[in-house]
Amino acid sequence: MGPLYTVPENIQKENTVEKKLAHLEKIKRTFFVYRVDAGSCNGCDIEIFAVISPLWDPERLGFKLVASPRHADILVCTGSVTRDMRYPLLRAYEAMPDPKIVAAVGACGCSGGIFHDAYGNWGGIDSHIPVDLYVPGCPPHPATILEGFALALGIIDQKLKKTVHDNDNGKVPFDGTSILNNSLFERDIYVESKSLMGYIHGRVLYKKYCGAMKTAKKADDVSEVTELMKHLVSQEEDPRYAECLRVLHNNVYMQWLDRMMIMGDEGKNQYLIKGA
Amino acid sequence: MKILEFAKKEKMVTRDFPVVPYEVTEGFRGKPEYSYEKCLGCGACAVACPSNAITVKKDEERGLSVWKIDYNRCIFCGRCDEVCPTEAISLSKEYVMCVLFDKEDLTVTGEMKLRKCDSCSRYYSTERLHNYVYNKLISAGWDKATIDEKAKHLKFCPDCRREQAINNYVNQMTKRG
Repeated sequence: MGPLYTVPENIQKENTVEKKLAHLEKIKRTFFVYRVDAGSCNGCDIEIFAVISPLWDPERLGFKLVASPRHADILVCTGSVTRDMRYPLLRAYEAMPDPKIVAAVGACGCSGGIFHDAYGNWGGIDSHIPVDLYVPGCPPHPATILEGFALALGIIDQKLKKTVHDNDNGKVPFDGTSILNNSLFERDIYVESKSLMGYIHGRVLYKKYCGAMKTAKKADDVSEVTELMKHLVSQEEDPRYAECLRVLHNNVYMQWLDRMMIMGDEGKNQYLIKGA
Repeated sequence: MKILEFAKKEKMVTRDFPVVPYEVTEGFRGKPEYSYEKCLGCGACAVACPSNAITVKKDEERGLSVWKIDYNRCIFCGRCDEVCPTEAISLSKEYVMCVLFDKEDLTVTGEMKLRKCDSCSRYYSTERLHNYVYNKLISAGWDKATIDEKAKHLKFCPDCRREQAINNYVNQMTKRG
């Protein structure tokens, strides 16, 4: 299948990159923005209206929404193009004065986003009309949208560049050292922390626990580790972390001592940390 | 004019955004940051990614596994962060990511060497993943014989491993009679 829509020659001639750049440089005045919703979920549109609020106030940069594409300098498109909204999008594009500058807002506008393989969906904005400014995000933060316009007007510079890492030396981020001379202990701690607190806070909990364990002189000396953990729990400001650190010590660590034949069930109770 | 007096009394709420960077809140889901040094090329993130922003492809000609993220398609859900075993990809607080004209500026690619199967010499895994699993094996507290026994299976592709397992089983059975 060929392209769904070929940009007419007269429009192509007026819309070269040089002409667009010259036009963007020339905009020292208010620039008019026309917004097309080409079938988005409305998340990006709500964020665009959040940008227009006094909190961000894009009008100090000259941003002004207009009601007709014939007045517009920039066409802001949101959403992956649905079959029904494709024709209005093309009409708005052709109605704009040259040179036309098109911004795709949101993951759907940039590439189709989460809907890229959905059935009623005809791809991102750039598979229909040439796009100049990409604002990714689902939905993009108001700061990202505003930054996009500032970038288009040359107020700030583009930060991202295409990155390719290709110097593989086969080194891995794990050198084989572990606390109890057994990496399965760390695995159990990691799994337990994740199931206790979820992946974001669980990772913090894991780092807190392992960081404290690494300071112990002998990790299998139960009285020393218990004192260390009692200190850590009492110092912890967040009661959720304190409780979960306690659970890690009482359940996982004690189970491991049992498994490593260091300490059985008897005498275990004096080393359990009690809750508040 | 009354409103101007009122406005003077109140503080200005508008942020000086492009000049002064915006400070995001705790737990903000920003751009997923990729750390090439930590990546193993296991592909868990590519499986977890709901919008296929992350892809892992095998480049047989150059013997490389090509990991690629396309921020154009990313929906910042954090599934890749959740499944990554080494925290090679994690959501940062970065929100500055607009690009002009070229969509490819929003991609990050990492190329990792592939490893050949010792038996059928086909590519089956990355060198890094093999090394990582081997390091995990030797630190799991087994004696040397067990480690050697287990590490033997690491060097074969899943197909050859399956074949060997079946052959071993058949041999044992025939010996037993």
